[in-house]
Amino acid sequence: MKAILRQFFFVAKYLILFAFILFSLFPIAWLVVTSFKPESDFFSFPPSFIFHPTLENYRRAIFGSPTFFPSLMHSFVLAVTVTLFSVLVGSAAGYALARFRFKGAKTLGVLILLSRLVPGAVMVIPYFALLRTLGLTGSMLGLTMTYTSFALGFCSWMMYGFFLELPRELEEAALIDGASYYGAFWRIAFPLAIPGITATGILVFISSWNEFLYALIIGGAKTRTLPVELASNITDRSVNWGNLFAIATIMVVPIFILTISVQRNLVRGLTAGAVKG
Amino acid sequence: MKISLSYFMNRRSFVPYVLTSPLVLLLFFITLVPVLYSIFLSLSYWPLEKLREAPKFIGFDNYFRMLHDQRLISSLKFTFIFTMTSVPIEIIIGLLVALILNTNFPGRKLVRSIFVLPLAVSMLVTGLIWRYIFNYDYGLLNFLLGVFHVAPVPWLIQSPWPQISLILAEVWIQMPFCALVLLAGLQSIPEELYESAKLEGAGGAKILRFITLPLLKPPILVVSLITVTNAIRSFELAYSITGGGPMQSTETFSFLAYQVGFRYFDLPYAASISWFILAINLLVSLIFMKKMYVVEER
Repeated sequence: MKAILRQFFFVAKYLILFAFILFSLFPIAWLVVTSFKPESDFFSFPPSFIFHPTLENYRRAIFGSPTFFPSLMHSFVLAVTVTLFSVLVGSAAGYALARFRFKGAKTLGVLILLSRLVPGAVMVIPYFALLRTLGLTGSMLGLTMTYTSFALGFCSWMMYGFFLELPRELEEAALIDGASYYGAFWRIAFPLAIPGITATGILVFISSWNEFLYALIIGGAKTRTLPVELASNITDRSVNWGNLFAIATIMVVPIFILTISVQRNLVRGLTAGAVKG
Repeated sequence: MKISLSYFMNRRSFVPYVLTSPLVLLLFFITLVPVLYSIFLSLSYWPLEKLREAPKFIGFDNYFRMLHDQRLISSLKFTFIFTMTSVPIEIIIGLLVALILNTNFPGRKLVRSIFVLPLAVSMLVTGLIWRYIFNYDYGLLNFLLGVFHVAPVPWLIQSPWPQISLILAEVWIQMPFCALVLLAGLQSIPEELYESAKLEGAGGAKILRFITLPLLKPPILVVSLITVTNAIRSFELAYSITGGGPMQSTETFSFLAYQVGFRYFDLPYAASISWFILAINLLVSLIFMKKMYVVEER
């Protein structure tokens, strides 16, 4: 009797797991598959599972829209710039917090934590108003500054955690050999923390790449990013499904690849060390 | 000894300040200033006609206006229902998945990697996919229902279904995150506890109730905090799936702030709404953090 119960649980376990994997994965798989359907098939009912794959959605989205390539470029440049900048500044600050005891360290730590709580739709309007006063709306500089301000708190916190884990001996040896504190940081600690830096950097890249609200409001015609380009296919009157799915797939696939490569450190980043282990 | 700039920069006590100064400067200018400006903005009057002039200070009138604003009150109600429904569902399902993932089975690492993927998709794209799936005429859900001989559901057309659609989409997005964090929490529970419990003859349900769940309190609190604050701030889902409709019945708070600010161009009022959202978020965060400290002290 116990054996039957155990077998039942065994099967049930796999079934539930399978159901959830399907649930989680299916919408994305559906997105990719549908993007290769001819537009007429989008509205067929029942939905067609067998169809002639076509690239017409991609052709229309990429070549039919004069704003696609600029959007792609802007998204990429923005994400790379923001990532580089926040990782560098965040590493410096994280290192200082991890290795030194100094006045104001605690306050700084609290401020960084607070800055992680704040961002979001809440601050769009003040950011918009402020940047408008500075004349920075619709500029790459304005967007870069905005995204960096979100990423800095996160980067500092992540790097703080990573640097704490590095043994001090190597840096101390370098210091004894005559290196400056900055040398010990830049030449010893920083290279050793590359796995953590990569994980952090990829997470920042992904957020910047996916970010929509601020790009929509603060960005202008000259600084359109991919999410905005995507959303431009939804108007009050109609939805341009074909283009939508093609662009969405283009947005999603590179991120998938990046995410899988960093998934081990992802949980740690998301919980900022609140969960031990 | 030569006293020069580089001398000061290299003194041990100064190094941390040098290292953190870029961060402090940037955070100060890019974060603090907008915060202060938004406080000022929420206390002023700046209609579209007078955009070229400076905003006029009017005190707390915007905030008083919020108390009587029917649309705002109903969006507050919806955001509340949205949060209080989606979060428990996400956590319970996440816990279930985490419990299953915590056992050993072939392909476990692969499954874990698969679960990470929904986190990487932007909320906007997610909203669009679900908008397509929820479509009454050619959406996948109604097709599946038809296969089981269930009548098609007006997902995006008739209350309460639009609200349910948003909740469903939110659960889809946040559940993998919950599962992963709870899994990490589960994995930090030492094996010996389970072993000694089994030695004393405890069955699965007892182990769950007396060992696993109490020890999972910190991760559950962390996950609750993050999902609740995410739900309160939710904007992209309302924007991409329902556009706040039908008839403004699915306007989350952030979405309303966006409408007020950028469709009606009433920036000061939108700013005061934003501050209200922030205040709620801070309050919720403080409550959760207090709970977390209590657990840690024990």
